[in-house]
Amino acid sequence: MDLPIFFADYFGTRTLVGIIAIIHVWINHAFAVGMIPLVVGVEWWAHRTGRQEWDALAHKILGVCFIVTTTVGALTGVGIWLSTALVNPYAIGSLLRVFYWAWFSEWVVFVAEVSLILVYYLTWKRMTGLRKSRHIRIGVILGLMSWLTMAIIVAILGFMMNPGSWLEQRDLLAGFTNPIYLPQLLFRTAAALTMAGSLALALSLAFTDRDSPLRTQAIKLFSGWSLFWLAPTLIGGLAYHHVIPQAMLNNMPVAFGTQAWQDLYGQLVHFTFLAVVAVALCSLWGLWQPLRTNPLVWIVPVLLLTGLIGYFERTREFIRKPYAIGYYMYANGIRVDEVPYLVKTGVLANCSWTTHRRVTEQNKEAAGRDLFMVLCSRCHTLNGINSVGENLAKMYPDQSTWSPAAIESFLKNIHGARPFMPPFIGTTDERGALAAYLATLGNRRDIPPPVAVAAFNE
Amino acid sequence: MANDLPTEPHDPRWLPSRATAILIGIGIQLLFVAIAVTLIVGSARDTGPLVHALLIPEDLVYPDTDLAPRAGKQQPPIDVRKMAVPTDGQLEKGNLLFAEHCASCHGPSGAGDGPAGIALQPPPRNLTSLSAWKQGARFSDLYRTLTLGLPGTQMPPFDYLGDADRFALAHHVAGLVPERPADTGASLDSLDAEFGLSAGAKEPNIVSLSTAMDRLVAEKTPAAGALSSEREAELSSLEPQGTAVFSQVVHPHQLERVSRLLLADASWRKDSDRLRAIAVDNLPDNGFATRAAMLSRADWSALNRYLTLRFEGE
Repeated sequence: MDLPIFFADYFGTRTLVGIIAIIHVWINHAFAVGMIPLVVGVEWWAHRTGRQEWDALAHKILGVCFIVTTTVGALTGVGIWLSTALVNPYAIGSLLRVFYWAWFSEWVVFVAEVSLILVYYLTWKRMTGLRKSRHIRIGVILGLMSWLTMAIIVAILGFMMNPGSWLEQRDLLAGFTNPIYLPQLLFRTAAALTMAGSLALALSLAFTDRDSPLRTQAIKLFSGWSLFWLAPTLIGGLAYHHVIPQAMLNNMPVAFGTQAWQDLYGQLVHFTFLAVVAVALCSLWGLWQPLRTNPLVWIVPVLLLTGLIGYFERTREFIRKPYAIGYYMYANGIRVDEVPYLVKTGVLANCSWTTHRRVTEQNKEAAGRDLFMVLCSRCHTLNGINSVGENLAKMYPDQSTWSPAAIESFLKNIHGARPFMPPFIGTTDERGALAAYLATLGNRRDIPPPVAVAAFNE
Repeated sequence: MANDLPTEPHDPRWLPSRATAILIGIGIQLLFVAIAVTLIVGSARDTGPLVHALLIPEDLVYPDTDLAPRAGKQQPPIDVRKMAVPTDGQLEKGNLLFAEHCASCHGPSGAGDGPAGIALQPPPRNLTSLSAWKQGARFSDLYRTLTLGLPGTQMPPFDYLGDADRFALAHHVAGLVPERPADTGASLDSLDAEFGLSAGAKEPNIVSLSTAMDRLVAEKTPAAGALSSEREAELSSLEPQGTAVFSQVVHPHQLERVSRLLLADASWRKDSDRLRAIAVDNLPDNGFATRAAMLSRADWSALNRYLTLRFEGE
């Protein structure tokens, strides 16, 4: 607790990370991991059969991927590390310690990927004839590197849900081969290939003439590709679901619907399956009747798959709560094994960047605000998305009755009442101070304007 | 350059037929299914609790019911010369204790053939033979071995049994081979001196569980360098700014390290630049929090004034 606290009111720090990360996943999966094998496959097939128009189409699709991945893709990739390091430096620090060499390898592979997509795209028109085979080989290596960047990161994502035997063995290999890793890799690989098919279909509409034979064949090919990979996606998803710890699956209703709509979990699951079925039907239709369809229909699978993978990311991030790293570190950056120490000595005494170092009768509410910053502000805002005031108002609708004692009794059992919340960590004085501060939020609607980085305010 | 090379409209090498392509497709699908099935069958879902009960702070609070603390009792002095003469009561007790504590390795008759001794290296001694006793075979030697154990072997110290029990056991073992070297008055006196027997043993005090837990926590979180709360309050009124800076850059669990560091080198006491150099060098391994790297000049002199007061006379 030796680092300043980054706090974004209204918007919330986790929304910031979520938006950057989900955009990155869309681009990584659809435009890189899934699309490169598809483009290389089309290039190879066009080369063997001498179909120049297919070669040109693959090149145009690659052009879009090239621009998107090297701009928004690369920026959001870097953005994930900058934003997460700011929001939860302790979690990133722990991941760095465990995955030290994986981090380094990831960078090497990423540089290789970006360099190769430059070479692959820019030499497309120059490496023709006898050099075409070599160009295709560059594409194969590029596809491998794209997949490897994902394969390394997926190990870290799996680790964050359930570190498995690493909790006892504490070595890189144990962390890498966590129970979630391979099922998730299988799922993501197949999902990326499916997404690439629907995206390639949508892009090919822009690059082919209406009613041209090329468009007809493209719709058939890319529909078939999506349909082909949809089955492994579902099988991989099943394997993935199978390895999620039971206690985390219990968080699913809230992960899917938030607390406001958690009762609709059943309907939301049905909706998810309907969306998958709709993607399958669109693809079947494309194989069956490529001509007799309004081109706008082909946008539907792209939107559905994009929505589904974004929703999947939110759910995955949520169900591992109360942890940032499963069974090892709580979402607020406190390690599970330092809890007894902090309960004994107090949280504030061990923080460098808070205004108050200990709770007294006079500073109770102000110290409580410091505690909010340290313990709650990774996920909660004061006014805005997932604000504490709003959540408390759901429990105690009459705000004039909010009392520190009532809120403190909730804090005592907070993990029992809401399993996705970590237990309150700190001394009993600190618990009282946090409750006193939270109670002040209810008595006035005019909560003071937010301070962007409140912890600097000394 | 590229344009100089001969170009071909297409590559006439192998291209899969429709049937081959379908077979490859089925193969890929089956491969995915096989991997997924292997993963599902080969892994069990983790069904443990999300947060282990003992890690919830409520469970860390000590229970209300606890052991009552009790002062240890002083045991009456032991006369070794008297104890060295076996009585019937001692022999009977020794027989029972031998069956309970020794027979599993040394065998019921003491021949070294107990079931638990089979795999031991070196094997348990045959107590019915007089050859090669490592620590001597006299009565006093038996008592010593029972109390201290036999280093380099699996023979443990039986010091938890109490003096009278160990004397009784020694008599039983001595009785297995009556024709053993006899003790002299001098050897019994030196046994007395070695274990302070005529002074009487002192039983340890029993402390409450919560006291023991507090001690354990204190051992794990060294409080060396900590001040009394009165002294702390006094310092913070004398030097409020320095106190604030100190609490930011020295966390409670690092007090000991920082105290050691600062007491080893007095050069900082009149020189806040020197203090800064000591504190910032080797951050954070020296015990200072990394925030020390961001203090202002005024902070450093306040910290220096505070530390000078805190370590006054040390």
